[in-house]
Amino acid sequence: MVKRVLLLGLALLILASFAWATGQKDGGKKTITHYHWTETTFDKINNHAVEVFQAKHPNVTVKLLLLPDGDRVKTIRTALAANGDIDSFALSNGDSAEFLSTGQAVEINPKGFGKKSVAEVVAMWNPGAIESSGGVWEGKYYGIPVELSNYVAWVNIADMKEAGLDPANKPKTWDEFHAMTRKLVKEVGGVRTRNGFECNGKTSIFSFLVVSDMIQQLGLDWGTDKGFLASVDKPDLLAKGLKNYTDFVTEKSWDPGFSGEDRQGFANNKTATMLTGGTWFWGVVDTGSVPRKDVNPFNYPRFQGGRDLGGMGYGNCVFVSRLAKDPVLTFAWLDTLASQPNEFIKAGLNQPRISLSDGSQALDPALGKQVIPFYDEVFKGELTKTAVWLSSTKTAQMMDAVFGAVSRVIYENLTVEASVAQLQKDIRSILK
Amino acid sequence: MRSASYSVTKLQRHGYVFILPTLLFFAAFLIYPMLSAFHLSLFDWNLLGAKTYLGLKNFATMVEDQRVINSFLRTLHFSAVSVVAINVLAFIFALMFSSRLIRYKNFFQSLIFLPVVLSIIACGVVWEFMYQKTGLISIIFQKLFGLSIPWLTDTGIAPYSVIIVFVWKSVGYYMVIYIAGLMDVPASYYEAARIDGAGFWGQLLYITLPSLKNTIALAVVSCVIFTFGQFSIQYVITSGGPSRSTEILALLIYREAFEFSKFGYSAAISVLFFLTLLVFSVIQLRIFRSGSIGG
Repeated sequence: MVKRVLLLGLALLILASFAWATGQKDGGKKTITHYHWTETTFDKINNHAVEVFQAKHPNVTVKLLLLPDGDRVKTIRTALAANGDIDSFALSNGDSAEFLSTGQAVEINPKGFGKKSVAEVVAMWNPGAIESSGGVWEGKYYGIPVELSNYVAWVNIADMKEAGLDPANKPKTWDEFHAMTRKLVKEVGGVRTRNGFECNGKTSIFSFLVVSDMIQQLGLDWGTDKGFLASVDKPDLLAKGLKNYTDFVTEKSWDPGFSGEDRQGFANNKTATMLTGGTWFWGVVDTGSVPRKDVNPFNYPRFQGGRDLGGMGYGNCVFVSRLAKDPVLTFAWLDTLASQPNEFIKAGLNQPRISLSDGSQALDPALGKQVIPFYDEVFKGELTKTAVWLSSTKTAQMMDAVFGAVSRVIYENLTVEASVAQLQKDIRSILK
Repeated sequence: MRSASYSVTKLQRHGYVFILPTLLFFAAFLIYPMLSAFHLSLFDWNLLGAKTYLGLKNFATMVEDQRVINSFLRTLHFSAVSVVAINVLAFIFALMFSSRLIRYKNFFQSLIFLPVVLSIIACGVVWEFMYQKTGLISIIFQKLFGLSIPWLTDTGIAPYSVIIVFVWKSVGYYMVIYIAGLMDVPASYYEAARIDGAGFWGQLLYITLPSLKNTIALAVVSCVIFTFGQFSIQYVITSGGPSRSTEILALLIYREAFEFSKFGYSAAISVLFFLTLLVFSVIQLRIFRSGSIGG
């Protein structure tokens, strides 16, 4: 009898604990759960947005979930698939297509911004900014941009001087860039101590973004599925673009086994040049041993006779989820989240917002020049000529196929032509 | 004085109550996901849209998919080499530490066992740094042998670089198993053998190995099962590269699901994975049941 009572008591205790844990509410307040990526400098600014919004809406609690960038998309995907607690989320332009095409986000509701039409909302951002940062799908507006950046080329001018090169004379074509990177290789006693060029050779995304830029400069459309599929009928141009990238390895400017990481490598002078950084990269430089005075960004090289395109354009948008408990309120939260472009530009992150919802100026156009070195000379101009990041529901597979093409040349010593032949098969198989 | 009130049936019923939480846990986190995966393997699904029924199409695709075949062969290669290396080394270490000639046995045993308890992720990160051109291992090889080995950038060498890390991490565990097995061999057998004039190799071949038949069989089979399911080392050190030379099956399953969002196809590959491991598990179960090898 005693044992039965004890067992029953234990079962009731477990049930009560479970009910209490799952039934917890925040004192009757509404909650907005937002999924975002984490980066120390930006986190402070985003947390300030939470304070501002909660001060304006005392009956609302914002839960800002800051996720490692590599986990963000997977976490958002599983939260949506599980019909979890997800009111809004941030996605890059490379990831948003799959989510928008399956109805995971709701269209912009102008009421959240105190406006009467979507056009009025769109007008608060630079023309084309929402499209470029992945906030549009099939002509409808879903996303609010929180970043629009572009890759530029980076070089260590102290290394240039050491190699007898003139820092004022930056390469304008890919041939010139290759020649420079070969000269910037440093070896001591036959042992490499610095690469002339480096790109992250472990993950597919960075190689893909650089190769894609080169391919688009050659006139092929790698921004859409249709364009990508059509490009496989031009193997000569594919081979030219692929060779331009893999030549960094075959011509020995880039030893992939040397350091393995381009951004931290550049910041610590393990590589003299790099092609995968935007305005925010100044913050990364500050974490390394290379001083800012030795760092020069410059325009992406071009092909002779190719398209006048700079580095890859990329951005992030924030979206209201289909599971949002109060979409209008959530859009109001996103409006607040995207209302600090002047703070972000000081941290190197460009937010392309012209005006705030109350009509006041958003991004101070003069601020970029003040806080970001080479803003006027390099970043601003190149931002108008970016290559297009593929907008596809199969972006990850395409990136992997291109990385496979690169890997076959640099790790398996296959010829570029043979690698392109396999790439053609892979792309046709993915996009069939 | 109370009379005994417990019947066998009552005892069994109470036993089920006590194992119920564990049964529920296994049902929720093992059985249900497994059955879900079998079900999912018949569909095309990216978690976001609707599921599309494909029947056995995923399996038909898998059979012709060079990437799956490559991963399966890479996994077999990784398992075969690792299992042999781990068990041979573990056996040698066990023999050494059962000898009276070695001093400070506890210290050396602890040293060999230490990697087993270290975080596999931390080990992978450190080894990756050591394998780089400016890393400790590369510098040592350069200084001592004048060799510059592309540990992680050569498709022929990278698989063995990963195997070295895995063997280093695991050998201590199996060394303990072999030490326990050796302790079970009666000392009188060795004494008798010495009296009959048997030397080291004679004792090893005619006493030690036959006595350890079951231990060896169980260690090898469990090593195969554990090695086949490896994921962390390859994920951390090489991400399956260079050029898919270390892309083992578990990594491919992860990639197909969480990078390419092909959850149905990933589930189909995991069914293949399950069936392969099932074969090894059945072998192990038979060994456990029979309690001996060869009758």
